Amino acid sequence: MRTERAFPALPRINFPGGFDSARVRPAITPDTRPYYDGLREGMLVLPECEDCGWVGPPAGVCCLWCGSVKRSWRRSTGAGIVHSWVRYHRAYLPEFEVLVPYAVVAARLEEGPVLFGRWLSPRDPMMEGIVQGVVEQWADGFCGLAFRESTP
Amino acid sequence: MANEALATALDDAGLSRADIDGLVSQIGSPRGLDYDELARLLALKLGYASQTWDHGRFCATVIEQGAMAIMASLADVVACLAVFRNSAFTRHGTEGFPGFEENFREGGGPHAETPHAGLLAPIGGAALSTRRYMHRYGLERDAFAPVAVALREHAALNPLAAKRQRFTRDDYLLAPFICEPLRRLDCSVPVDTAVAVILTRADRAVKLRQPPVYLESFQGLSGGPNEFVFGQPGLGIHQRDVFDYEPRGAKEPVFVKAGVTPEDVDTLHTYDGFSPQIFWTLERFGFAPQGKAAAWVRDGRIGPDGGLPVNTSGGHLSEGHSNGWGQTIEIVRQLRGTAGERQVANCRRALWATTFGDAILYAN
Repeated sequence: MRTERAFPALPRINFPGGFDSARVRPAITPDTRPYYDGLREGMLVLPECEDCGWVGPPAGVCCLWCGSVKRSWRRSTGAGIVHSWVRYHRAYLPEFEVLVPYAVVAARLEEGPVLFGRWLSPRDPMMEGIVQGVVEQWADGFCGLAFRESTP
Repeated sequence: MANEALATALDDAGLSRADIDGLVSQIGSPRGLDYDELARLLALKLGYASQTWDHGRFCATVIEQGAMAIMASLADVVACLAVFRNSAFTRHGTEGFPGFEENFREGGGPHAETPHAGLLAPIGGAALSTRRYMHRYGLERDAFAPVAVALREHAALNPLAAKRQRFTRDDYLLAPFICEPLRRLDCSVPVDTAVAVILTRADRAVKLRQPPVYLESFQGLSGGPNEFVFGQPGLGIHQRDVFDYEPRGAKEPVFVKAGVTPEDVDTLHTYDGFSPQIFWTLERFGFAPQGKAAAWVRDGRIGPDGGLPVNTSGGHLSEGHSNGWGQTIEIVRQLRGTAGERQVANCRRALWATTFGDAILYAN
């Protein structure tokens, strides 16, 4: 893990409504456990390929670009820009009913990958606007990634 | 439903079950019917069988597998069977819908679903790609209205279509958002589907009851880190790279192998789970310039009597979401000249082509 820059802990909020994550949490495997363990500790870590150098999303047993299995986990500040965003006007699961309408952003992180997260700021996301990753914690302790406007 | 579709297709072709020696199936829901069960329950005696995954986008794959089995002399007459009874289940994207568990795979669901972020149902990934595309090419909020309007114009002429009432651009803009920027009228209509298509060699087909429809050329699905089922390469949604996409257009293998160009296509049929997919297909296959499909489709160009009628049965948006099979049998009608009020004049060639890269060129 790289240590040449400071990595303050990610901001943390609780998912509204006190829901357990049982119905929404992903299958966590040895390939993705460092990512989710990291979020619980307030750190965003991403897989970096030691062969081609690509920093990708947390998925799979090998680099999603070149297929190399030589990967290490690299710390990220969670800073990025809004690559795209949507607003749900319908809840597909009861956990999100109280939030409708709610927005979700695709944020392109400084390190490269686009990650998806719920939008936490009151104003609409702005395309290419600067955002900060936030840890969103469910009532049972599961932590996922969300985003909000970056405050200078 | 499967039996009714098979019996109807056999009667249409003037064949019996004993003639069938190959089966390629895409049984969507209820799930769990393998080829051997189908053969037993439908009284088929097979020497070749294959089956695809249950959900959408595999209709060309099924037809291509059947054609390749015949080309390789593995079978003489192949039944392609597609059956989806989605009305028996909850809404797509909710618990209880077949395939809901796909959302929880490593890296999310097949359409970029990320349930803990509230990114649920196929529409989420489609909407993310749509906004990115609109942002890149400067599209206005009414950009997709001509698509929705044109497909409803087609469906108004199709007694089998689920939605037949015409609407205008203004009606479109009053339709509620489901997942912004996509409105209800940008979304396909869920229906039950049962379709059977019979394939055989050309020399045998000419002796059957109906005039044959020929497969001139085809190409398979695209996949990889820069492909996403709901977006062009380069949009960067569930794809690695963000770049300005330069489609192959007329250089797509389906055109090159048949020695034709997009101008030779009389009607285009495509997978329209959401209206932007029609733009992405028009651009990928060289009908409209990249990023300019919105201007290209204006003035009814893809509607009835347009220069390139698209999804003349009404497509998934208005006929109903058949995973491409409603379009497939509509192609057959058009090339037989039996599409009634929807008949495209002098229809010689019809193209099936999709956002996700596969294509079949059909001709009469």
